Amino acid sequence: MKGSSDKKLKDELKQLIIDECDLDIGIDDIGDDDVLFGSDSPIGLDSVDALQISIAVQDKYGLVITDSKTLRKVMKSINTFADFVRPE
Amino acid sequence: MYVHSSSAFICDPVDTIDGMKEDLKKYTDYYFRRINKFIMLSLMGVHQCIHASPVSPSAAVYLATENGNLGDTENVLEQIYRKNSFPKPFNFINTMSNTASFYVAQSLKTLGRSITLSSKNVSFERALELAKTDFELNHITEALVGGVDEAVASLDERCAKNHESCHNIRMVEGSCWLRLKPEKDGAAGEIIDVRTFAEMKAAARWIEGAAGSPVTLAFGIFTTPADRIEWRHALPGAEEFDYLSGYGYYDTAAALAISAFFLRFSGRSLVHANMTADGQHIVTVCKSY
Amino acid sequence: MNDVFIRGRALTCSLGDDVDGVIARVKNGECATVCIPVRVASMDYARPYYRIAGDENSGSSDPDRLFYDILFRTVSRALDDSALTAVEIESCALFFGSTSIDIPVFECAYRQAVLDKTKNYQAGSPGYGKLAGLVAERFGVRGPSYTITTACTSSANCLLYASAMIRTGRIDRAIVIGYDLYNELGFYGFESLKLIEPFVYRPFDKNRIGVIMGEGCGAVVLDKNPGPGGGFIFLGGSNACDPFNVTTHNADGSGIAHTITDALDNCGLHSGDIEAIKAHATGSPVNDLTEFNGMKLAFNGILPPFSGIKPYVGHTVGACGAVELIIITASVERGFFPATPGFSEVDEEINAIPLTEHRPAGPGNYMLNFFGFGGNCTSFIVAYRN
Repeated sequence: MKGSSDKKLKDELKQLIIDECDLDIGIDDIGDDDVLFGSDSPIGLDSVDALQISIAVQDKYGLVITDSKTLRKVMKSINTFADFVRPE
Repeated sequence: MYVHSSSAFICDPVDTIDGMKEDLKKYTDYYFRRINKFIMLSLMGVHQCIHASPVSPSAAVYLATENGNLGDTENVLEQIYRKNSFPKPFNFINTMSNTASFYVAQSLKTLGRSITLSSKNVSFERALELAKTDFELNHITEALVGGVDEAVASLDERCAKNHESCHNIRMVEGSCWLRLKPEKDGAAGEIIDVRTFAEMKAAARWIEGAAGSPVTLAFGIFTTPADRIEWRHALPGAEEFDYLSGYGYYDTAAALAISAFFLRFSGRSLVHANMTADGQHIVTVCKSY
Repeated sequence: MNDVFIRGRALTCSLGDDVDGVIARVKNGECATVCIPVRVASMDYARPYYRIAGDENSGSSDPDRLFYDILFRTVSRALDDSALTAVEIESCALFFGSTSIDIPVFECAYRQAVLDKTKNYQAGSPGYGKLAGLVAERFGVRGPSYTITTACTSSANCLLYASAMIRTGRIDRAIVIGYDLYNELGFYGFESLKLIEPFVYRPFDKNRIGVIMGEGCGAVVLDKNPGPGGGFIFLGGSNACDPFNVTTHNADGSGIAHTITDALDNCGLHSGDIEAIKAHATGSPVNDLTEFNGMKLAFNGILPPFSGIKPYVGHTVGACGAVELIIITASVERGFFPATPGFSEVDEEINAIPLTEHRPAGPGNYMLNFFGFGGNCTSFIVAYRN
């Protein structure tokens, strides 16, 4: 199953983002297609948040993202993030 | 330097900052994320001192600390050496303890000087000297000077050096701040002087002329019993303020002595006698109105 | 108000440990890095670093001894250079600026405890003031000591406050030390922020990627009296906090411009009075953009010649205030203001063109700028009177 079709995985990723970025919200406050980064995003994460999440993903799932462009692409939304963690 | 407000934030050692985060909401609407305990303590103390009153956009922040952050240094080393991974960016950034003075400045919207400073046993007194220098050169018009440290477990070791039992002194997390301005109007008191003496005799001679009246005498934790006797002799009739038994100890507790003095006593002088790491005497003289 | 003279200097860095030799290498454009393997997370790559010679291979032999040797030897040479008497040394204040303080030795002990499977290693905190205390004890310094930890502006702020206290007469003289050695906390920390340049150090260049870190110990003696050969006066400067973000300054340069303008005001100077600027120039895409915007604002678009000198010795983080002051003043005394090595292609986005060749230099006012995490901004000015 693709990650974006797996609610449990997506909830897990939302919780990971909330924990790592120290957000004062619950998992229901993050929509699956919400933009995660930048001033247009309801959550408004920044580049250091992205790096923080990438280390956590590396520790938890063993997935390495070395360049920041890929990082931004992967973490566009919860759906893209989940598909990166589990492509199929 | 005139003291316009002060705060004496202390609490029992805590493992998480969730409780403090809630408390801080009473003082500021700002939501702080990605911060550690050291930063949280700094914010609690400074916001209790300011109490939502406006701060000059050029106000300077001098944060005195003996140890800075303790938790994030441990987190980063654990991440590298035990988990064989990269440090988490926020943990790494927060190992640099000046992030605390940054968040203080950000939450108060000041663009002024921002200095994190340490000097073994006497960090707070040295921070007052920095602020005094900036006032004398007209570089600043308002300063926030704080003494912030996390509770550490090694109080007994410190007491061993002091030759005096401090079993009754509890270790606390502390963040005590003074708001200083060059104007007397509206002030609660003033910092008269901070002086260092190599010899106890010279310190005692000086204090006889420098202390006001009525006078309150307080000691830093490292002041030896013999020196305490000399101080009492030099200031007969002084009332003692045993803040360490009353409030507890943390590593920049000189800030606690001075802040708590301004909060509790009016119309008195304070002489706070402390020791530098190389055995010199450092004395702070304050006056409350 | 007292004048403040730069009375003595010494440094240890990747280019050596005598000022003459270091400046000769700067003049030749030498930039010597070594490769440090990234050992965590099963990674298989390396990053450059400017190491102090004899340091990188010492490994487990006795890192503690090396750490203290470099520090004490550098301070000792600075005191020799200043020709202070024993009584004058005793009266010195001590300023110590560092990002890592004693992390290099602390983390070695931590790593060893992990290898030895010592659980819950807790050395207890020796306090940030520990190293300043050891230096004071070693050299018989009895004046007040101040350890400033403001990330990459640490020793720059030490210089600022030491000079301010001499100016007001609170102290007569001070030993100012900037010290940061290689440590994995910093190296992996910068790597986790994706801030390390993998190839060539090239501040302001279009293709710049980031920082290459360096080891450094700089010791400067400031005094109200001039030394035997010193021609530099420390005029003063400013420090400010840009509260924009904990890792980056506001890209419009406003915080930086405010600091530079305040530094000029505090020294009673105008923008036209500056001969040349030593930029902070970390080589990170954001720093160089922000810094150049700040300089343009402060100087109304008419910039003095400027240069970034980190490509010679690396970004020595908290030590860079003292280390770079020594390199700049010693270069100017030898008749040149150093170029920016590595710069070759203009970045159209910022259009910053630093000096690409050494510039003849003589008497005049020189500005040195430093910026760091936590929004810290420091700018100070020294005058060469010959």
